[in-house]
Amino acid sequence: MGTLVGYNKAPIGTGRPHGVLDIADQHFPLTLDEGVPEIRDLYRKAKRSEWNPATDIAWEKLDLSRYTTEELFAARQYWSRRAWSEYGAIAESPAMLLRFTKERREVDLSLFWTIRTQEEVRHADVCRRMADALGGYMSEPVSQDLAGSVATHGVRGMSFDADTPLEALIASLICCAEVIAFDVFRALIKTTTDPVAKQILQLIFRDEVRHCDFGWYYMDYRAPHMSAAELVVVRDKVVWMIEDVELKGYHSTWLSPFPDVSEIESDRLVYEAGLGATVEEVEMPVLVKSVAGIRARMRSWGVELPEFEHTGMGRF
Amino acid sequence: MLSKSDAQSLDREQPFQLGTEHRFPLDLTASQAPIWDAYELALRETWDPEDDALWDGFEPGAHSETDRRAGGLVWSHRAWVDFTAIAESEAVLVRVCLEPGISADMKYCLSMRAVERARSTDLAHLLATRLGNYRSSPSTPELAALLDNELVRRALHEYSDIDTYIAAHLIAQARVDFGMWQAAASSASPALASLIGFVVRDKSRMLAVAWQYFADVVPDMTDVQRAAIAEGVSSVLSEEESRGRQVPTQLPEGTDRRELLEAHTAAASAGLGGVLPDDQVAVFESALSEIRQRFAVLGVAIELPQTDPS
Repeated sequence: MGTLVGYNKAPIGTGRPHGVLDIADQHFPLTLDEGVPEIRDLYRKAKRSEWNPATDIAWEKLDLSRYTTEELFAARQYWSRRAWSEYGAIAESPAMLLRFTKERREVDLSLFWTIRTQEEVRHADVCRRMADALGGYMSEPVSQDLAGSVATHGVRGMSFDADTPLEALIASLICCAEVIAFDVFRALIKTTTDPVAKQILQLIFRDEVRHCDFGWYYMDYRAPHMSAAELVVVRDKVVWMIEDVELKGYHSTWLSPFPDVSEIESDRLVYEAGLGATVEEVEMPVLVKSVAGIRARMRSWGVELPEFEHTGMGRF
Repeated sequence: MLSKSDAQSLDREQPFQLGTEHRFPLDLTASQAPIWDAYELALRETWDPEDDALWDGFEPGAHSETDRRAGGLVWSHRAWVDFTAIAESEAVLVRVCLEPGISADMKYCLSMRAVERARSTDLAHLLATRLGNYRSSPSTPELAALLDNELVRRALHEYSDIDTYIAAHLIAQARVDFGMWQAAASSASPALASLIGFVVRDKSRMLAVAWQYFADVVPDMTDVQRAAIAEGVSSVLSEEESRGRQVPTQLPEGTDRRELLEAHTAAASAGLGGVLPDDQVAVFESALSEIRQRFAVLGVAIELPQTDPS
């Protein structure tokens, strides 16, 4: 087995879905010095990069007269959906910090994660403000089907599941799902022409760079200490994330076996208006390239990802 | 004695019960102007304990080794306390997101609280380290047990009443915490007082948010609910705070009490943020008095513990 000295792990295979929360508090000795310098540096950068959705966006540059009623309605939907998605990180991902603490992981992780959660708050807040500025934030999806599609893939549950190792969580959620979202986001900024929408996306992007780096840095730090068996668990979780979450349309409905046509059409309107959103022909090559990049980087840990297949994309 | 909801949340014989979220409709707008204002203020009032400019005038070398060691221990203790509140804040945030009807602004403020506790932990650790004496553990298992107090389970468990948790921990316990930081600022040198002032400002803002939240929910509570909240607050005050979790004069006789009181006395005299024993008693009594009075106004009768540990 790999080096687990110093971590305080819950027993696995107990059938208790929230086994991590059964770990008794054991804060002492409390080491607050740097454990993973790269992550402590990310924390420092984050502290210096805080921005304010109320005052740091040039809201006065939003000119609604440039857009049709249909474009504005579609953009309201898009930015509301973005806010819901960011909210998911507020509601669920703090569970990761609880796991770091329960397992007595390096304190840098917890320090960084506090700001990470706060950044998700800023993202949800700014997206809601944008939806409001476009005509009104929508507090729920138009259809119940869509409510299901914006549900998360269970970060909270997995964070408390002792049978899912933290490294597998970080590799699948951050180094895979967040990295793919990040790469799509980069393309989104290029195709967005509205100055306010673009500024918002750029500020979110700046934060997301650190969120992805966090995952890579921690896994680069941990992987050399992990056994082949532990890395297989990591690999399996990443494969699950790509096959059963991403390629089933979690981030992009066009990938879903049952795509929401109205969402696709609405997003195209927003995309063509330059108000945000991307479309299939933009995202597909990004996704292929992103997975290739993830595959190459994970290889350095000793994790070999297979080829993936999707009916609309072929093998990649 | 533990309150009933705390006892349930700590029962490891039963599988842990996490609530179920019903996300939509998802209101992300302001529901309470004072809470939203606190969130926006928190966005503006950011600071960084590692910003060298904030340390101008703080010169550890100007103090004797004895005083530095004393200050280091005082700030180690504050780091231990504040560190526990980082995970607590995130646990409360997860929990309120599982509860129906809790406004986005309260959630946003809780995310700020976690960042603020990270900052105060960081500051306390930096102070102890720069004074050359960060200590990573209490001396006795009694104080360690008071700080290993399972806040995450107690905040998160479905059977634990979240309003009771907020009243007992984000108000009562936080009020004692606030009092100790405020007292530290008043005895500290100007340079150190300025640093501590950032933490006092953060804690004051979040304490006000918690009171506001509670004032908003209490009118709809039944007498039974108010009694349960009173029990939860009284329990935390008598079982944790009166035993010296944060205020060393409340600790039972033993190594931690002796070391921390000596350290506070020396550090207070040296302007290093200690709180003299008499002042600690005053801080604790003042906190209890305010807690009782403000809860009473809201129709919650708190039974106060004895402040003399002997």
